[in-house]
Amino acid sequence: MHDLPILTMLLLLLLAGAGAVMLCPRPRGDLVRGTALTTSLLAFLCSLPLFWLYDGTRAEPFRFVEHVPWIERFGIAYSLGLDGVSLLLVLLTTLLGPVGVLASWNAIDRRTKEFYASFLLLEASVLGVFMARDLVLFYVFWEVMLVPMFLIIAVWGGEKRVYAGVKFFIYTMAGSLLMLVALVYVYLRTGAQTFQIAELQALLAALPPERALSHTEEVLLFLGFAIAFAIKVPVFPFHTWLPDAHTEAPTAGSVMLAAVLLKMGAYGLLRIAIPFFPGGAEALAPLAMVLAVVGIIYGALMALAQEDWKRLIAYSSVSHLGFVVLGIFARTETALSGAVFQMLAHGLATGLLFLLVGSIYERTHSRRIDDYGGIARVVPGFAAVFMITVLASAGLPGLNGFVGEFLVLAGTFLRHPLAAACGALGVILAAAYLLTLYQRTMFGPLVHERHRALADLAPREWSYYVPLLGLTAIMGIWPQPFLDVMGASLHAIPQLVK
Amino acid sequence: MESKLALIPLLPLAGFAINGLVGKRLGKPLAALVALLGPAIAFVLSLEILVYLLQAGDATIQVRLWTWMATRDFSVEFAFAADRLTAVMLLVVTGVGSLIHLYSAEYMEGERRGSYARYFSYLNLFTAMMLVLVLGASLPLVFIGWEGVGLCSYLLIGYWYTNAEYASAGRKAFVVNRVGDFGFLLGMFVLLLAQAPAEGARSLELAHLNALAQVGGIEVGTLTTAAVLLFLGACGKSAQIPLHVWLPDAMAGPTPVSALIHAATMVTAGVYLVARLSGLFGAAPAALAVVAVVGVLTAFCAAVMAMTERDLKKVLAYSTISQLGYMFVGVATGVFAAGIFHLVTHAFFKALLFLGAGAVMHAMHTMDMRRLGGLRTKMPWTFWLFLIGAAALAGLPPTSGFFSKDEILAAALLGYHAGAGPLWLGVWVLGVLTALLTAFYIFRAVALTFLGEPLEPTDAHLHAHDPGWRMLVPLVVLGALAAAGGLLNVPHALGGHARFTEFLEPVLARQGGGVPLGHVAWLEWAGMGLTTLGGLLSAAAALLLYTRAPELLARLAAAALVRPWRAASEAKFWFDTAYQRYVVEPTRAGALALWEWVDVAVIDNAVGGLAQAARDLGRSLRSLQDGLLSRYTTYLAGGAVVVLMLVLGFI
Repeated sequence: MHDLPILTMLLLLLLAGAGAVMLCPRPRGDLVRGTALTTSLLAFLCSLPLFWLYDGTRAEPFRFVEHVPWIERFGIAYSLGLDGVSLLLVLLTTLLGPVGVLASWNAIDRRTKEFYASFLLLEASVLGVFMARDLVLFYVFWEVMLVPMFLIIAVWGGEKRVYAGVKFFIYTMAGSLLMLVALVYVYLRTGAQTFQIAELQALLAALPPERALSHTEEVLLFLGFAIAFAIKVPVFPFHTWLPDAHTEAPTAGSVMLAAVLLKMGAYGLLRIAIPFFPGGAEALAPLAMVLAVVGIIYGALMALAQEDWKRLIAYSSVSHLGFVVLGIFARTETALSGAVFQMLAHGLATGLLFLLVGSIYERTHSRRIDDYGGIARVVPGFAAVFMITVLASAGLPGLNGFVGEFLVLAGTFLRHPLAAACGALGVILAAAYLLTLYQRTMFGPLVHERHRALADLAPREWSYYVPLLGLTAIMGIWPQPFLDVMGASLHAIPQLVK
Repeated sequence: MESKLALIPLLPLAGFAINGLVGKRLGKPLAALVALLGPAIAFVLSLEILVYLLQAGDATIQVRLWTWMATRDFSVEFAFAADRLTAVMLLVVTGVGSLIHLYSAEYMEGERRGSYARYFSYLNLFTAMMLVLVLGASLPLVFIGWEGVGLCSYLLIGYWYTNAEYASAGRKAFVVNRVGDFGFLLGMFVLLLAQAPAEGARSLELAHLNALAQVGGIEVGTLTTAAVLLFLGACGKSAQIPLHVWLPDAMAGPTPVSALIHAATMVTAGVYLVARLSGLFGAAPAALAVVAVVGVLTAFCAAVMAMTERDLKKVLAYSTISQLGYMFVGVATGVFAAGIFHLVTHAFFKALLFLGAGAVMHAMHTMDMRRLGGLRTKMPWTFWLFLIGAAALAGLPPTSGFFSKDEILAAALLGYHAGAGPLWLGVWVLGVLTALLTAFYIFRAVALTFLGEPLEPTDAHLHAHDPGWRMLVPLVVLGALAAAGGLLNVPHALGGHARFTEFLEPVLARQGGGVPLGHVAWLEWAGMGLTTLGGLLSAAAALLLYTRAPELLARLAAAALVRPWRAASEAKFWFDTAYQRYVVEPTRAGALALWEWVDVAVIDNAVGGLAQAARDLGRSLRSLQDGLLSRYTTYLAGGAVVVLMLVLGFI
């Protein structure tokens, strides 16, 4: 069982699905959607057992390892594997695959073949990023991901889709290039014969004194990687691509962006930037934490000021991801566990929030908060799902958002009380902007008479809301299995700088 | 016993699930029955626990369910624990809770089927969360219940959500509570930080924290910080100044909700928290002084606010804030049992008053006392029961409120007498003044509602009548408890045995932090005599002024001494105005300005402008194209670096 190249099979499955979608005859929309759904569901079902196969107590960091030399002259290899952190992110991605397909069911009505093919390709490339153990392979997946995401925003997006798509592309590209330069520099500077992430890290840590990286080099190299990742997260002030991209993308695109793509940035910080250059991380941690806290507060204030439902949620992501960055740079075990847990929790909660906007937008074709109001009575099912989601996002104990925030803040407080205390202000603001959004859209008198006939959630929509909400609750009251899986993979990080 | 303990919060939770999912299909009687069963069975189980603990002395029943979250720094178990203090709270929550569920069955009859089921599912969820709060063995577990009850409060205040104002009141309650919860969170963090990792895993278990504080395991300054932060949380939940502003608005909710959540149970959570952590607070005397000062100031100011209020429910809301202040004074004196006893009697008489007001609301469809009046003959049951509640609130003997309020005031006085400092004399004086104001405003309310004639009569007066049995039974039971509940704890000075205090003694002795005050009979008698006499006079004055002497009242109100106080009372000490002007509006305006000026104007334009510049530059440098991939990469990378540097520099 363990010899099965299950990770490659997952990637191939999705690529094959994308190919099959393209081969469907164009008028057969149902066949296109069916194929996409089957593929993504199969991918989820294949990846699900990994959670139980993964034994968090064993010593070696990576499981399900595959290694095939690729460009031997430079020591580049097609090398995949999962540790506790990447495993959870892979599962989050495969879970949201079928959800994204179902959410696009009626919303995408032109160029459906191309859409679903792009979507499956996007899923595959994101999975690749989380699976890659080779830096070049990581970089390749990272870049490949850009193309389908750009297309999804710029072709199937809202009114300003091209602007948003290009903005997204430019920001990410700028970061990628910095990463590329840093990557090449590391390779040349260390004289490594490999791009294996683990080996490079060991090599960097054990450079003989005469060839060791100077402090400046370490800081600059760290910046090279960290800025690329910070743009993706996004860390304030690199965040302004996000509201446009999220707002203009179609529902499935927003969901993938918020739930998974942003996590690539945080994952990169954890997997590459900090372990490679612990000295650089140490030097810049105060700045990073300040930016994280600013992001938490600033994102929340921006969310308070928005009139567009989707844009408000986009800004809430800036705030919530601030907690993740804070936890990563506080570098206590608790804060790190909290950061990773928060990535998952945010993925589900914000994914749900975007799905909900998508559901309502399909019915009314408006994202303006002012256009709603008083619809709770008309669509009670929707209102209930929205309520629970808002509470999860606001960090109500018993739902998963709380666990992440609590661990991040508690863990950060152990080393940096002031940063944690400022970050905790975000908890107050989150309640303010989320409940204001809820009240303005759901409560009060009915704003538009035509909304009296709004249809409540359909079975297709319930089919993904129920499992996602269930998972939100389970992770809230029984988070320990998840913390156990990621635990061992995070032990090493706080010890890097000593 | 352990499994029963776990069952107690689970029962109402099951009711929540049933009514939440299929309540609409059940029909009203069945939905109400399902909802009532949960708290009622939980009440029986709580009685069993009480009986067991009466025999077992200072036993703690514990049940560990699973590990909630554990890292290498600390771990939190999903665990419940119950001792005698818990048992008292369990009985109040499930007992008063059951009565109010029954009352609601009739009170909410007019709602549509779906809304009726929704109401009961929320009420059940509230009960479950309150029980988690009470049973939680560690601070994070308590916090689940703590925020859970806040959520239910939010949902129930905004129950009639099509009214935008009501929905806003719910949101205000939640957000103001979040400010308190911010303190609660930080308090927990400080306690984690204060525990050296060498001493084994850090823990937030309540018993552990009390023990640690009592042996001096945490430095006093740190302990005080933690205690004050936790008290900030308590201020939010228990509506103490400066976080009291949400409670009057919370009266937008259905009246039984006000009785259960905003009088008898949820708002007392802060008092319970301080008593539960008596060892911790006791080891931080400065923190207890803060509790006492905030408590007594709140008690006094809220009583002043109630003096001019025209809405009957809001009078009761301010009086709740005021009485909660008393409870905090009680726990702050170090006589924790006094605070808890007042919590219990207040649950009886304030629930009684609210349910009485609910009966009036049910009959008259208004809470504006100008449109009420003269209901004594139309609603005799309601009148007499309300009168018992009013007497108890005013602390007139021999009602329950007399015994509990007096014990708190006696504790402050005895503390001063024992040399605890002039602070306690001040607390006592303000406490006595508050008692006089209390007697005045509640009998003012009695006079305006039930006596005389309405200032603005309405048709409803013709048809006003007492409610049916489902509303009357809870009223009668609570009336009996409010009248006679004081017998549970007759002080030694009056020849009693102080059984309630005795019952809690072992818990507080184990937790630590209690202050032995001894007894000085003449002082206690003097205090009692003063408040009783003052209360009676004050009540009589209110009845006279508001029924027979309007001219005298008008002259009094215009007196120079009274005018500034009346202005303060009518403006509720300007808290809401100040928050609106100095917190809410600046935040909104700031957010909008930041968005327009920083996010859109500076950052976006900087990036957009640079991208444009890069494009122009690219066009002019097209001649440099030579097809060398490596050179392109270098250009791109260099450009990107420059762009980013500039972006950073711009900010």
